[in-house]
Amino acid sequence: MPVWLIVIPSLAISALCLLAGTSAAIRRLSVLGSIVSLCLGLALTVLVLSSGGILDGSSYFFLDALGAYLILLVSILALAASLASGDFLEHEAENEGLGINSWRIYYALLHIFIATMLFVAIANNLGLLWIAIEGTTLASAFLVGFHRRRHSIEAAWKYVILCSIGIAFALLGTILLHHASLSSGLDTGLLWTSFIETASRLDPKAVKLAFLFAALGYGTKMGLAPMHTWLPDAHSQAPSPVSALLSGALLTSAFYALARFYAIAVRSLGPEFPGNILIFFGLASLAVAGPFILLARDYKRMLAYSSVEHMGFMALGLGLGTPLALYGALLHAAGHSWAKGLAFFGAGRILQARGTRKITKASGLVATMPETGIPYFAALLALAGLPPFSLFVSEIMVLASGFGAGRYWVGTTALALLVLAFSGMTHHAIQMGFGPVNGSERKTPKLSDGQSVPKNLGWLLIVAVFLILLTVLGLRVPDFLDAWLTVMTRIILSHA
Amino acid sequence: MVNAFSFWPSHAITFFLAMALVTAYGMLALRTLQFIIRAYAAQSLFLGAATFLMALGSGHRHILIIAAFTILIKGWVIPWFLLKVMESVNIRREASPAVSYPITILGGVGLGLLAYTAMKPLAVNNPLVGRSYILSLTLILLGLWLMVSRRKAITQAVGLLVVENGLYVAALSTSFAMPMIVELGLAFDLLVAVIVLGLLIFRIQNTYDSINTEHLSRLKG
Repeated sequence: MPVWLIVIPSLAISALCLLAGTSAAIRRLSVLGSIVSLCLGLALTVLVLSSGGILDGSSYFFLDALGAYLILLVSILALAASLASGDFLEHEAENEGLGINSWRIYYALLHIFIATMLFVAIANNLGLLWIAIEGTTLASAFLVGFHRRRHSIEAAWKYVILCSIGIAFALLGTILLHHASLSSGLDTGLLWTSFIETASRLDPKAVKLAFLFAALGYGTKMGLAPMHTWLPDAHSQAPSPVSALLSGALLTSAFYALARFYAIAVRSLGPEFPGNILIFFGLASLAVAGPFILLARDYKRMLAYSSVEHMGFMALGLGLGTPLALYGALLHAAGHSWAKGLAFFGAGRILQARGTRKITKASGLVATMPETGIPYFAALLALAGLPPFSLFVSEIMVLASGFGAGRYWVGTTALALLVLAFSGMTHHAIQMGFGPVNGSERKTPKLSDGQSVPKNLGWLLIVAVFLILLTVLGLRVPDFLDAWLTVMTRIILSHA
Repeated sequence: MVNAFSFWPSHAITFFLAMALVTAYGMLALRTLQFIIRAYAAQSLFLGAATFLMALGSGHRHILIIAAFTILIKGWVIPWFLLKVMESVNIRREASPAVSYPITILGGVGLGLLAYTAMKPLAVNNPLVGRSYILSLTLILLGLWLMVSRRKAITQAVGLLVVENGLYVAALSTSFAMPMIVELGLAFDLLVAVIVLGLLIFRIQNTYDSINTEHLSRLKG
């Protein structure tokens, strides 16, 4: 089965959504397409894991355990976003009088966006990888600016400009890597698989520059400080299902691209140089995110800064470069994707019901709208890093391996900054969950609660699946996932 | 590696690349949006001409195709589109830049020196290739500088395109040994990016009645 099949359902659905006549048809098409995509992803994953190697190893497209992991994370969240978008758009359509064309454009762009992220996972050629990542920016620009309000347009402009600049450095890094292989007389054809084989023979000076630029570029897209400035705007202004995808899937894709470059750099230069760069960006992100989470007044911006924090933490795990840290960072990617997805879907429903972005005005959610409030509260606790959710386990793994490797300063700083973010997150979670409810806001919520169960079925399904996944992985990593994660750490690190 | 600099028109190539640098500094000094866009077109044409000579020298047909694409798309289609956008939003001049013109140019010279220092390690092995990496990084930094020192959204878009031209020079110095599909993908991405930026400029104009990006600073914290 050729691996590029994975992008076909999303592209096809995107085209069909443009042709569909009613909003109900678009919703059904979108969910159906996402399910097909997820099934295809599962099939490819089983194929890759059972073959124990790489599918289509030497061509432009390939799939290994790492790529399959990204495909699965993206398509799970894409299905959830597809389900959540229906309720979201219906509400917006009532309030803002959106026509059928808005539905068509929204869903078409959404599925192109998903297709570009799936494309990231199968690109073997580093040039195509770059094209796919830049494609994600272009596909999601108008999703970020979907509400034609002043703030959303500002966010969309900053998003396109800053991400395109940042990613330009990643292309320079890619070209330099190509230069490194050419000047060593190798013809890798820009294929990642050939770079991995020949990494030790590459010119180290060029690889150093290449990795530095790649870290700057993909780091920008991943939201690492100090290049994160586009992220809080884009994530807070985008429609909430899109915010969930931006945060849970897109940032993970950028992390994936960075991990691919790290794998080449570590084989060429050893773990020291690339590791220190990533640890610097990681700690900087934790340091920037902590205070902003603590002082946040807008709950969507708080979630956005929490993405900066978690991405910083994953960069830190990658930078530490031990098998355990990497295992933790990869597990963290999954936990973050689900918890952040759930939190953003919840935030979208809260925003629609309460009509405010202020944390202080959206309080007492557990009592007034339990169906949304309770899962949202749980998601915030998971993001804060509390057990029994899996983010707790992965954070312990990365920190433990930092201390275990004798990097006490790194470990202590990271721990202190995590505590800062933790206190901010739990503080706001308790405020939003159990804070006082003002009389004026006690009025009947416009959405969700009070609706019959079938209408909320999609939402309840998302809640159940994501909370179960987060809790199960927090209690015990199943054997097959454990083996899978171990294979992935071996793909990235040469000596594991 | 294929050394495209070792045949007779290499001086001509160097001349064209130098002219690309001159146009970049020119953009920092120009005040009229129309001239800034035309300077970008000129820069792209110089790069296209350099690529064309390189294609003649190396005899690779795919470099010839890239040269044709560059001249057609970057030298003609994109500037034409940007001029259309400029006319329809009816903004002609960069009236009050964020950074004054003398300081912009001084800063540009400083960035050129910075690029030279950063890329010098590569110039040790192969001075000619190293030199074009220096030019590449200089163009990237000058493009960024153009974006931060000007306020009009169109100038910022041109800045981004100058950054892209910088990357193009980097690809040029490896004699475009990247697979053709990658080059085509890059060109496609560039076109889509320009269209997205153009549409966003329309929206900014419609919403704010101005394309000054200083309006775009409400989101904080």
